[in-house]
Amino acid sequence: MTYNKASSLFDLSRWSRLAQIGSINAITGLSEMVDQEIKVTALSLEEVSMRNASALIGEPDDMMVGIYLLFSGSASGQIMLAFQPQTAFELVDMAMGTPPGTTRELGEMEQSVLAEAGNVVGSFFLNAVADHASLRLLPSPPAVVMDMVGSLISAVMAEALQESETVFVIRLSFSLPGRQIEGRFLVLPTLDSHTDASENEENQTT
Amino acid sequence: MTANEESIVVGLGEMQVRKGQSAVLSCIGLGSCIALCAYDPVAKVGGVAHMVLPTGGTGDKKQVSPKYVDTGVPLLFQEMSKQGAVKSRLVIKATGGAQMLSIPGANGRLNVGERNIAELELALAKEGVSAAATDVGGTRGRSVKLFLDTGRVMVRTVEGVTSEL
Repeated sequence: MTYNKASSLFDLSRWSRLAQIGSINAITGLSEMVDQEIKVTALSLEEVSMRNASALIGEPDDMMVGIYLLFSGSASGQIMLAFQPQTAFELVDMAMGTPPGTTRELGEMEQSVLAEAGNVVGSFFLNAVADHASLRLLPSPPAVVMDMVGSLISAVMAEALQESETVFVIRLSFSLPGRQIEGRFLVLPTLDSHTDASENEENQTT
Repeated sequence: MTANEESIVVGLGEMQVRKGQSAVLSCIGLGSCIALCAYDPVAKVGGVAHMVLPTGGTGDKKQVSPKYVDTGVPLLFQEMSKQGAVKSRLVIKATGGAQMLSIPGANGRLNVGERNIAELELALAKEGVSAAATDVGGTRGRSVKLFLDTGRVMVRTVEGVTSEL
């Protein structure tokens, strides 16, 4: 991984630690919501260029369901919880206690359930990071969108790329043993946030 | 697309210009970005710019790149001109500029698509040209293909509907 001048402003190892703490807490929240054990299968902090943005989730013309929220306060950025549509439907079934295969489309009720998943995951992530780094982080209400991977990722990247040529992404994969559930959890902090959060976290630990 | 046609994907913030080729230039999964397609039917030169943001700043810090609508539009026309296209002959079409994400209280920050469309109109006016057809705005994703043998531009929506622009 190479760093440009702007990205060298923050300490990657500290942000990796914050990402890990926040992400694991976020999955704990999702696990509690659906009352199932969810395993984190991969966790990484990556610098992603515009060109490679779609590959974060899948092929650009694949369909995906994105649960998207912003956060603000001591640091700001974006959070996206992304699933293939079938996976999102299964997650709705689990949350609502209906048999697998019941949900086949995203109506108002299903969107509301997924928005609640976004609330839980976002809040658990932000609370863990905020507690550890002495920050105040506030989530927005979530938006639930089903569209092409490329369309959604480019819209998220456009927001982040107003400040930088590349973005730092916390990427988390998770799955349920014995179930076809796999998701991606992306966090895109804004560039200024890196420095503030790293500094605060350093003060906390030294 | 026939088996012999080369497919060239124009990525985020990139542009591609080709002359006299049986190829297809495409942008897959456009959200708030704008795909500007231009074609000179006489010189058989075609180009696509996949522009992400409205402007690249101002003054000394201004960035010139296909990533930005304000500089991407002139860059595309300049590159096409180098390959023999004449601006007055260009058939110009544009798509994209959707507002994919909508959050109450934050939409001023998320309206990149709307700002891209407004900047596109300004940039085209500055160049003294206008679009022959557009399919912009809305809230859903699109994909677009420019066929370099004919200049045909096809737009596919996320619902799977394909139409000629």
